[in-house]
Amino acid sequence: MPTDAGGDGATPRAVAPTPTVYGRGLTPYLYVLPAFLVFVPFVIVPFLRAIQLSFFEWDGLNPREWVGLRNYTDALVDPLVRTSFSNAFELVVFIGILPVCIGLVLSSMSASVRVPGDTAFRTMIFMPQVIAGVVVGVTWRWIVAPDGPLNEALRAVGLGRFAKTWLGDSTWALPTIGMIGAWATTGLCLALFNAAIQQIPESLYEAAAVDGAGRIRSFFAVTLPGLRGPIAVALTLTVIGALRTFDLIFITTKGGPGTSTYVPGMLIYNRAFGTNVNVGSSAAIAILLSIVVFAVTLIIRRIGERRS
Amino acid sequence: MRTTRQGMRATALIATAALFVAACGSSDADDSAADSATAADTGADTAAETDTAAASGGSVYDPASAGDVSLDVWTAESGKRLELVQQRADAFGEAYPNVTVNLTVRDFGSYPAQLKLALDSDEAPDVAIGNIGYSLDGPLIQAGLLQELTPWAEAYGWEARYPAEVQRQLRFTTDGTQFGSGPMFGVPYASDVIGWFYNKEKLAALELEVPQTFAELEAAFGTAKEADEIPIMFGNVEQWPGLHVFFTVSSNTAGAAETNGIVFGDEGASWASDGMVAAGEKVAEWAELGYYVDGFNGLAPSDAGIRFGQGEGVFAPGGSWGVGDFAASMGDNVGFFITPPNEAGQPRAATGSFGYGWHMSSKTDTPDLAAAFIDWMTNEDTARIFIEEGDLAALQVEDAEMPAGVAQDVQTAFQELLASDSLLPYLDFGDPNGGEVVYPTIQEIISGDTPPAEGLARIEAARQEFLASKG
Repeated sequence: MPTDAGGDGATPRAVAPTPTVYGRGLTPYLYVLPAFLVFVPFVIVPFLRAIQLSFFEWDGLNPREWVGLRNYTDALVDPLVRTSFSNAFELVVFIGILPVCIGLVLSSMSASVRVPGDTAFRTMIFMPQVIAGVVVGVTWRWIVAPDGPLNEALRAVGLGRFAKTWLGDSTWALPTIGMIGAWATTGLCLALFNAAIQQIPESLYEAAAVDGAGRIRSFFAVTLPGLRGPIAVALTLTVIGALRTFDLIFITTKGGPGTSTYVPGMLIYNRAFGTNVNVGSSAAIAILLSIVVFAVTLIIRRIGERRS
Repeated sequence: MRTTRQGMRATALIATAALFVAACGSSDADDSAADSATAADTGADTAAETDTAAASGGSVYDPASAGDVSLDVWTAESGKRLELVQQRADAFGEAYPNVTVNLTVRDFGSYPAQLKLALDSDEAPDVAIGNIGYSLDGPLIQAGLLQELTPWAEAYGWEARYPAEVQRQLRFTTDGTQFGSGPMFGVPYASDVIGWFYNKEKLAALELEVPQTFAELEAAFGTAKEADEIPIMFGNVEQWPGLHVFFTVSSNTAGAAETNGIVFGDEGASWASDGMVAAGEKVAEWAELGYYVDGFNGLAPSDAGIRFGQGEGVFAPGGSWGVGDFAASMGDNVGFFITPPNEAGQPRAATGSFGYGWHMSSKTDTPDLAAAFIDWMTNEDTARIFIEEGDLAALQVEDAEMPAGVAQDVQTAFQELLASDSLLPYLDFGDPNGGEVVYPTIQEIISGDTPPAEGLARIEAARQEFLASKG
């Protein structure tokens, strides 16, 4: 150990790193410790357990039987699993991408045009976000019922030929559920974008205006680049939400008509807690869904990073 | 199936809860007086029964000799049925003050998961309700958690109580792999049956009588359609109600042997048989003829029930659990019948079940006491109370006073089915594929999206796969 021979102040600087390294080493971990203590038993352990269970055939009660990758190979050739995933991807368009687009348009409009009562307006759009999914499902099931308000309204304005059995038509059921999901998710996007749009310096818009950019041009040149980060965040949240849709479908169609609105969440639920209990198969589908979610999240992050 | 039926019951709960509150508030004193009177009566009855059984060679255990013990009992019933179960359990405790009955009530949705854990634990309940078929009873028996009831069935004469075919709903092989054969594992206390509710005023306005043959039923649909009425009110957005409509036809076209065979895995029975395909064609034809309410596939069952209750539609297919709701909304204007036979006077068949059944834990320290309790909860006195309260018991009771109105229609129809042993099990008891294969496919068949023969072959293939997986 160097001693404080010179007293020139260099030595304290030389020994200082040791406690600093320790400090930097431990303190951050102490900060994350509480979250970690919750995260490990409630997220990491169940996740690892699900991976483990996915290699067994198990009814939840009797001794489980090791089947290797069979649950995965069964899932990959199961037509219902494939239908479920392709339905989930279709929902991504409605519940993942559409709300982001609507949120962008609304937030840029409300940023450039100040109207009295716009706070109330934004609050109203955010409201569905705080309503439980089950309530959303029950309410919309009523709205889109064959003689519900939506069809009644269409008939009232002479558009009766567009009235449909929204949830009972294998062509329209999934888009209908998608639109319900979009309605519920748009508020989140709007809130994120509204907060971020206020961070974009006014001077950029002024510069764009000086360069002769109109409202649309400055949206693409200034607003959109300024919102890259929030868009990536919003997309991550909404796409994950879309892929794991369950409550809305469970409440509205139970996967029907036929299997036209079946999603992975329904299968995972039914095989873990429902009537067709095969915990291994349920876990395998859940792991497959997780892999898809990770992959999609990674892609969105990459795109977000590359742009910025 | 079970879950969804319970779901429908749950929507009825609000109404029932209101009635319950009213009942509790009004006459507590009267009720408890009546209770103890019943308890005294039934105590005497049981004593008499004990003598008979002892005389005939069987030995029936006297719960009074058990010393101070407690009996843990689990149920997932709710509403009115829970009241009746509670009432009878209390009466048992009053008749045998040395026995403390602890009734544990769990919600129906998570009951299977909770019961599995409870029965597997060191503090297993002594007696519990299960759920018929492979969804719950099967795995529990396979895991050795339920006690076969043969010795007590003999002592108490349980097998003689119920029609032979219907009784198969309570049987399982001791390894839990084969439903419908082997010893009794459960004793039923309540029942349900699927048939047709009808609007009496509308039927009269159409100058029609209650159909006595299947042809008359179809003709009635046609007459209603021509008169711009909705012939069949039914909501199928949750998929399972479509299967119940299918039942109303298949019980006639496929018949008892085929239906029992499919459910209990008998050799040769198949979803793809001619009788079943005929049923599929019929329910699809009704859709084509516009007999179902417009948009039935997008209509919630509960909403369909409300619309029928408000006077829309002439007929509504449904289970006996709808009686309370329809009686409340329609009063004397609603009636019930089960699908009429092809020729007047032939015996009728209909789909229904023996509910959940009382089971005995294989871990109970007091099996004889548990059996005595099960007997009490399923005997004629219990059945009489169920019937008098407008519910369906699993027993025929000759002299029970039925409430008037639609409940009486249901009761009469059900007793007739018990007498002719033609209560057929729910076809979706036969395998665990209901939610993933059976309901979606039947919905496609009704909508005309899938040809009946093709869809039913798909359902049969899934059942075969399940049977093969059991080894």
